[in-house]
Amino acid sequence: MNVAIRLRRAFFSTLVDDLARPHAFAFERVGWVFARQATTHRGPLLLPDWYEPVNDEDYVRDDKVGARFGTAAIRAALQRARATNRSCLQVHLHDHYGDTQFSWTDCKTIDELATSFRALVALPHGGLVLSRDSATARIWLPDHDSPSSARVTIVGFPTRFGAEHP
Amino acid sequence: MPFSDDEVAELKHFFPDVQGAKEGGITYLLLQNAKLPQGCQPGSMDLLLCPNERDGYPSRLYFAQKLQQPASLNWNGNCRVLERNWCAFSWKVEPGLRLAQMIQAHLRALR
Repeated sequence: MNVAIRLRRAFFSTLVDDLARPHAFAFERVGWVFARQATTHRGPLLLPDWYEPVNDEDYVRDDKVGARFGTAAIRAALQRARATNRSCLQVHLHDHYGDTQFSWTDCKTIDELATSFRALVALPHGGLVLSRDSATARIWLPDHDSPSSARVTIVGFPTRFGAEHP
Repeated sequence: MPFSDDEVAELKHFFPDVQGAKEGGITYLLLQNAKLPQGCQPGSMDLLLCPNERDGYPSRLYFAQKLQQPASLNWNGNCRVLERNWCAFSWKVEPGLRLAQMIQAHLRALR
């Protein structure tokens, strides 16, 4: 099953600008993208339309990872997904240009979160990693036991097709 | 960015434990347990050289952690590369140097 994610260019730029902001101690910023769902003849389509950054005070010091955040951030994201019936994608930035890919740590974190989110909100959930001009997604569909193949398209000028994952 | 064999050999003369690694289309050089100039605290640590333009700097040298000494550095470059956290201070080095020269020019800020 192929999942398509369409990001409007203006929305993508908002994400990059926000995620590139330095934090007092975290090495990366993290946020949540919320998306409406649709179905096309090719498969599920996610249409992100809302972004919530993790609050500065919700980051936890941990030098072993780029960013660690507390349960308050997860709870807030989960509540929004439930209240708005949106898919929730954890998002962060890899600060370079071109195609990007998830690290082992990224996959582990996203898989753990997506499992929890799917148990409470039966929708596709997962993660999104951006570069300065591209994006890749890792999506778990409800009732699937592995992530589905996903591709992000940044719609606008110029339109950009990200690398398919996994 | 391709590096010539003699440039890498020259670098290894100063920093024997050098490894190249690519992420996001950029080739980084990891210098393990590199000795830092006298007076630095700690005296050695892993360094990561980005020989390409990044964050408005022609090249950047990243440190595995912030140095306690010297204390006057403007640490302004936190990043995560190769599954590790790195810190960099604001220091501009002229472009076009060989790898060994580039690192020495960055380390000059610590003297």
